[in-house]
Amino acid sequence: MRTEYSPFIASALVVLVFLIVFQCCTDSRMERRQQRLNAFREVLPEDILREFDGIEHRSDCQRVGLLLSQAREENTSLDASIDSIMHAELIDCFTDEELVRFFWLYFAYALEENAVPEP
Amino acid sequence: MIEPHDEYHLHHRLGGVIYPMTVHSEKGRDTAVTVLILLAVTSLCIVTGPGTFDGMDGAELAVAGLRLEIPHSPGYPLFMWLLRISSGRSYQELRIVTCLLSGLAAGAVYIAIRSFAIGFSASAATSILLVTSGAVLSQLNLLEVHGLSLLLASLSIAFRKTRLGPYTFGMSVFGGHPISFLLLPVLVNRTWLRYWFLGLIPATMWLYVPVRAAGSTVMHYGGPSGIGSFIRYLGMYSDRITSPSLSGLNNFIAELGPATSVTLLLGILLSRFSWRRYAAIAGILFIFLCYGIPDITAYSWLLLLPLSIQAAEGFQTLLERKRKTIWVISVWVALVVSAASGIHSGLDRRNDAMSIIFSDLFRGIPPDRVLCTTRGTSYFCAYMLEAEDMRPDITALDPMGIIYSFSLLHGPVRTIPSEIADRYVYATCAWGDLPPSGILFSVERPRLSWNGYDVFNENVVPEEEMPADMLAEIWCIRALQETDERAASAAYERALEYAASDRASASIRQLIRNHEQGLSQ
Repeated sequence: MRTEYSPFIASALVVLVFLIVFQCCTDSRMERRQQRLNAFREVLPEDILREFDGIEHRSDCQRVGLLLSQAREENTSLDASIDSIMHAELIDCFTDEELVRFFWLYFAYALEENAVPEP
Repeated sequence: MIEPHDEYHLHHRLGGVIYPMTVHSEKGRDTAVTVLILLAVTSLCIVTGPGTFDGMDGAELAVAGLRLEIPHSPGYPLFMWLLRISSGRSYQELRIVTCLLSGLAAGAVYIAIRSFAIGFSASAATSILLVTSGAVLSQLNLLEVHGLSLLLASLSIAFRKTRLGPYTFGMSVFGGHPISFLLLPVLVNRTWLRYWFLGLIPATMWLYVPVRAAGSTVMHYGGPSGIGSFIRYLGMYSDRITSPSLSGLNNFIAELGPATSVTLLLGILLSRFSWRRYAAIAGILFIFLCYGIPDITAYSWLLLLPLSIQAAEGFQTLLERKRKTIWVISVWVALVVSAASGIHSGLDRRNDAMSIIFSDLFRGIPPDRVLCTTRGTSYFCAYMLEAEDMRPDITALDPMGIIYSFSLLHGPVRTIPSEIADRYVYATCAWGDLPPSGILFSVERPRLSWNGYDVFNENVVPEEEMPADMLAEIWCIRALQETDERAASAAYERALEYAASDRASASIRQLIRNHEQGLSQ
């Protein structure tokens, strides 16, 4: 009489299939930052988005931040959307300039430079 | 006519060296039942688990697993490798892996019980009883090592009469949890003794800690790469062995629930005496009585494993009686009631208190600051930074210099500086003994208004002691910083309501006394 391994083999196969499907469904840290950046870019008005995409240096963030502040004062739905993003990103206490710098330096610039370290 | 379980006895009597796991005609049924149990328990664990990270070891294990670094002793090398090779990057994704391991463990429990010549129904019922009990399910559905430990311990029982027996036991001890060695009395037999040396092969997995510690930058527990530091690391919980106390056992029975307890007891009373199983149970009970860790009930699976084998024998006796249908229905009704109460208990513990607390912690920190975390908070902060990739602008460090890559503060420091490299420091601890630590202190002004924190706006209901004490501290910090006297008193009251441990309550009362003395002066 030999030892029966079929329950183990069948279980292992099920788990293997599950893990292969799972592997295909997960995003890398870069992809996730890109998604977070896209969420921020989507709420920006077109003119501010153009300015945001044109940032080349840290010092440009101040100008874009001021533009964003003005737009938020004029547009309550934009203000609420930005507040919601800030809450999700845990940056509620940031100024608009700091917010722009955060998304430019750690998201747009970091992605462009391929400088997002995976764990 | 020979019943399936009689056939097992027949093989025993024939003294086969290789233990027949299943008789040939039942092979298909065993495979089907194992896969069904695997799928059902995996789904159950996924559904009943927490929506965000738990208040125990999950955050720490996630960071260590993602980076293939060093969690708390003994390092759980196999678990770390499994987490690393999965493509999961957050607690929820990694939890899928542990839920799968739990599903496999449930199937392995079934096979382990079957290997004691117990029939299908009794084995399936008892394995489901074990994994759905509140005490076990509430661990199996977390990002924890217990699913893997139960899987390996069950395999060591299932394979105990084969040459693989000692090896699977070694895997269980060195790849799962060392506490599994208490199952040894159930496992030892002639074949096992002949091949005992194979059990030492998995011990090489523990080389993971000294080898990996040298290159770890986050979660390295002081880098136990030398012999001395590695031995100190392994013995980090040795001081937890205390004088016997019934609290662990009481918590176990409370978490097991009356339905499961009664069902198990009924089965055990109807079973025959086995000194091997009772010897294992006695050893495990000793640990429950004398190992003074707050989450001792996390090891319920270990105590329930030999108890379940014993109970399954009792159920088998019931199922062999005349008027079998009545007993079959009775056993399954008891099982359903027990599983329902266990699932209810598992669902009850789902809460997002820790996630709210730690999200608020980061919320209060302005850009590009230094965050100095202390004790228990460090693991959750490391999780938010490393796994969730939140607040990449923050530089984190801890006073012991063991959690983060940045260790400007070399070794334990008594005073946390208010600034480091022209950056304000935010600290999660600013007073001595209030456990586990404070939430956010800094000399920098102004602060985020209280309304900006979720913790003050939502009704946070913590299930565990640690988040409850942390909430108490958050309200204390608010009380200390309130300028309005009535608002300060109300905040202190909320703090006292939340405080779960005696130490936290005593510390808050002391703070209130200090506050009142300050007012009178």
